[in-house]
Amino acid sequence: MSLVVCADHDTPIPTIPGTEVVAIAGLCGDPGSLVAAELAEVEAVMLHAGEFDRGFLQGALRKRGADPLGVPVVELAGPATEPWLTVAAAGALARHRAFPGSGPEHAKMRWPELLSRRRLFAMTVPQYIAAPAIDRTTCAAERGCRLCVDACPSGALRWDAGQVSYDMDLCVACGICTTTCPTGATTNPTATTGQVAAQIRAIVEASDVPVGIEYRCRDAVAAPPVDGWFPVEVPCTGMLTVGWLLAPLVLGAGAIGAPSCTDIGCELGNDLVLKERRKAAGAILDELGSTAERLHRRSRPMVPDPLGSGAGAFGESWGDAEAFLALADALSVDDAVVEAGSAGVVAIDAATCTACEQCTSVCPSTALRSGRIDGEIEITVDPLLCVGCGACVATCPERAHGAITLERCLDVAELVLGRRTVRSATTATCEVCRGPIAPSAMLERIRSMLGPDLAGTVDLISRRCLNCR
Amino acid sequence: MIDTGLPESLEELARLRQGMYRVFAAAFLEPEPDRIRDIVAGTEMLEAMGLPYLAFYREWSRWRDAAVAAAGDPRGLRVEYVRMFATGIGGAISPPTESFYGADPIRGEVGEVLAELRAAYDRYRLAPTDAVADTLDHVSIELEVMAALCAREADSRSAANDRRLELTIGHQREFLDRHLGVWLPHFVARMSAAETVAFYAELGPAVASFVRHDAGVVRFLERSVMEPSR
Ligand code: SF4
Ligand code: SF4
Repeated sequence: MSLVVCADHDTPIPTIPGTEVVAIAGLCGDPGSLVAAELAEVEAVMLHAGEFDRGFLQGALRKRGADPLGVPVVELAGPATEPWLTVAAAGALARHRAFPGSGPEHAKMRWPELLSRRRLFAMTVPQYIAAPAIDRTTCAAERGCRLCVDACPSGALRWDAGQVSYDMDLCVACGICTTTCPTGATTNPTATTGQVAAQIRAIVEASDVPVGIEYRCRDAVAAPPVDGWFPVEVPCTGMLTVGWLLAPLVLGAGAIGAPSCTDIGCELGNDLVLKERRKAAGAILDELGSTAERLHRRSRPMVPDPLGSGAGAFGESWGDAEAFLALADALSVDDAVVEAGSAGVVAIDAATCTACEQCTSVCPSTALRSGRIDGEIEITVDPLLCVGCGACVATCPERAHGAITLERCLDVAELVLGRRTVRSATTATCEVCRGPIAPSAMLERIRSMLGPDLAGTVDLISRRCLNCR
Repeated sequence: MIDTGLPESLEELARLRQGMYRVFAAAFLEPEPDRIRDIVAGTEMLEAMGLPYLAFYREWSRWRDAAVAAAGDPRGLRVEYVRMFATGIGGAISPPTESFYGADPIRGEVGEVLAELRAAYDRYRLAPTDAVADTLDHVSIELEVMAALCAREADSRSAANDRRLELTIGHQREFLDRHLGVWLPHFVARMSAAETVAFYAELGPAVASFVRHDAGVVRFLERSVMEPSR
């Protein structure tokens, strides 16, 4: 297992216990020297920004039998100190070790902009980036979910008859779909929460001083190293949800940077999405009694001390509610409500709900679930999983009577309660076969709709099931 | 400038793709000793054309190694070929024909698939020679069709015949979108589920990975011919 560093420009060589660190002079200009070098498995590389060709590097790694998409590249855009390199290297190695592996379905070729019709750009070496793939077994599209489709800025995803189709040609591999998906069905293997968490944790652990984490877009021009600040690459900063923006603080960083890769406006509008979410994350920090000052556009020299530890409860999904709750825990806040993020609190009114279970059948995140306990219908909700999409309210046939409401907010008191029952309803049973007929509340609703003239009919359907009538 | 061996023009790229399709087509034919030797020679030639710089290299190199190893035991390969692909001997495990995956034999749609293919080959002005013993929907025939379309693309580029070039790339796209690219993943999944020798076990992922990659290449080529300034 090794870390390879281009030794040019007098680059100091980091020391990482348990990892072979190999310095190769001229590596940026000739990544092919990696192939001949006597090394164990290449886990990460450190190269000088603007001096190497990613396509060559990927080819050299492939020749060594490595998966180039799983080998992080730390780009040095200026002189770096040895401690900085050591911390950055520890992060890159941890990210590599958490790489879940990629398949042919993830490799998106990047064609150069300029191409003559008959000449193939004196063929520069093709470069690949990781594109998302959808796991149909966990995708909730057949329940009506189309959150990724609505969020995709490039029209690469389509919903049709309960299936999401994906067009890699249109995809810009921004990763927005992956952080929008409430079930984890859509993933980019180079930017999973597992990998990013591993990288941030390793950076925090390796540093003697408080660290700032700067999320950096894959396509951004590398910035010179700043002491105390470490870049964490993501496909596009537009994919950073409020949960992702707050995650570094939960994981022990003192500050976060989240710049857009462009100052002139992203043509897909992803910079505007980021701006909104930065605002929401700032509002959350303010509400929790920390300070939005921990969240910058770009890295600032001074990094404040980290917050207390709330990372224990922080899981794999990095939902907005999950990050909010973990921060509240870290800051010992047990009473705060903020209208921000993709989250919600669902309430059901027992007087008007007919227990038809339509809401639970469409909830993509399974925040709303229903089950049977001793023949009774139990509808439960877990606000931690709610993404505030509103599908439940839109589907409820009794919404006009206020059977279900959704308040889009983050509420510590609600979140700490966890999953709980919001509706229990009895089911009428058939007097002949003892099988279930329908929820009693629904039969009552039918009775009130049909009026006294048809009371006899309602009596019959309330006593006997369809087969025994 | 580092010499990668990669094609330096779109014409050369078309020749490389033609070679890839041809080698894979041969791999799905009966593994005669001469054929396996040709396949190994073909892989060596293609390897030198910059394959490590293309994303399907991982799967390809595993299969290439298996092909080199299999060249030493072509007999074992023949037994396995019959067991894997031939109908009638204990039932075919992985039928290498489009109609198996895209048709319902009871409702008689096999004929429909074959008729569609015949019409497509007519449109592409391609006709099987007498040497072709397999049905028109056999995987090696469909791979050969793509090889022929790539060869035509290369010729059109060298002759600067823009009209023919556009048509040929359109045909490649159509053939991958409607035929080969649609059923090949199902066929390969079936192959992967069967326990078999390394040559066939690695062939599935290699061909699937290459064809998936090539579909992206064709989309790109199609876009580039449609943009008049290029
Ligand atoms: S990665 Fe971005 S462009 Fe691609 S499908 Fe997902 S949201 Fe759309
Ligand atoms: S957001 Fe996730 S669950 Fe919903 S349709 Fe897209 S991939 Fe499926």
